[in-house]
Amino acid sequence: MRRPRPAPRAALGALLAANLLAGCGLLTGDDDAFMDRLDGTWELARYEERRILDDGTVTAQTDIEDAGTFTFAATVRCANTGFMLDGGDTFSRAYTFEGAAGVVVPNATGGCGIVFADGQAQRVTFIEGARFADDVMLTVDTDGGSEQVWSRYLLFEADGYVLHTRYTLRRQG
Amino acid sequence: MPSRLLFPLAAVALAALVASPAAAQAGLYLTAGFERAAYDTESLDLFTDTYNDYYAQRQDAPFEYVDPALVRPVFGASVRYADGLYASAAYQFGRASQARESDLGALDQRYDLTVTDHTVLTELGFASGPLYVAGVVGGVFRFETIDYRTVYADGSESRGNEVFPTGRYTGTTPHLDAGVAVGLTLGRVVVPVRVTVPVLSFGGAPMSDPDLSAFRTYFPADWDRYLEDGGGLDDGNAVTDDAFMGMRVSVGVELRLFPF
Repeated sequence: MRRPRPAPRAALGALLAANLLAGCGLLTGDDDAFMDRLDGTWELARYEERRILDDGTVTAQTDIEDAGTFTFAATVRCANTGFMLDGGDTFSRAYTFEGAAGVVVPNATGGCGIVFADGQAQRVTFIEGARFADDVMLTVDTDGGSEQVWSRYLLFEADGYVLHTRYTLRRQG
Repeated sequence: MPSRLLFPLAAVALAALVASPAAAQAGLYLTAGFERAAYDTESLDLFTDTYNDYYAQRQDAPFEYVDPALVRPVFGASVRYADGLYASAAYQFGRASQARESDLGALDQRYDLTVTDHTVLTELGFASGPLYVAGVVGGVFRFETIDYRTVYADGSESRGNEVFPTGRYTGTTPHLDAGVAVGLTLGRVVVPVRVTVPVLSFGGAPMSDPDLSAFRTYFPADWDRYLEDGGGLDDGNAVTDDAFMGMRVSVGVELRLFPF
């Protein structure tokens, strides 16, 4: 009589278990993985502001290369105030930013602030601190270990355009 | 062949199959099939109606209604035993997604409604020859996502919080299904048909986006009520995750990998 082979059974069992666990979200931890990836120093390699007009035309407004430096960590010392800033938990980080004139980092106070990511690492939020309704949520266009590209959009409907700010970050070192 | 002979011939063939000696069958099977899973679209239809009414003046293309059922492929594995008594335990995975878009001129709003199921089925019944009939009880772990984005005139897609209700709204609907299954065994292949309905639900929570950094973190049913609810207190207006349940009909092919 032919005996069942244990190897395919074990492989199928493992596949099934992994599928169940993945489906229940137990094997995924995209937000804390994203934050781990962010730890360290990043050059703001390019800072762009462009207007998207209602007819789809795009006009460049600001384009700065070597626009500054972000440092993300669980705890940072704000250079301007001297205060320590605690990034909190697994899903958020404190940051410092030193940059060129004209570069706008949302909700940065004294050159530092706190960010968190969503569960899918598709959005990164710059926390306002006092009013969470004023938190600014950026779209993660590129999520890599050596490059991050984030986009912010501001509507100026009365003036007929959307201001698109794009931050291109490259890891230093 | 005259069509009037088809039915008697089919009946004779079926009788012969049923009367054939029952061979004990037990083994591990891989499953592939199709499923039609109905759900309650009332709250999403209300969103579609009220949103389209609100933007009727500027909307170049309105949202269309979501489909009333998810028709999708399902995959899985099962362990079966058939020898007069019929019993099986099965796992099935299925995912279906549908996209909707509203063109508001200078910007579009798009969303994908995705429903993912992990189902564990237990069947118990009788087998006679190649046929079996069984009662089915299924534990369904259903995950729903409404992934809502804003698309600007140059094609840029935003997931930011500058335009409501952009966000990623999720819900979980664990529920218990019950129904019947019939199947035909042809050598190593089983062709099952299952019909189940939900009998017990553990859902009912609003579809929400806890990462939204806003007072309103729920996905709305009535757009006008949502706009009046700046404080985000009216989550009775939310699309709730227990809407995503209904009758499921599936047909598939199961292939025995190896016997026990």
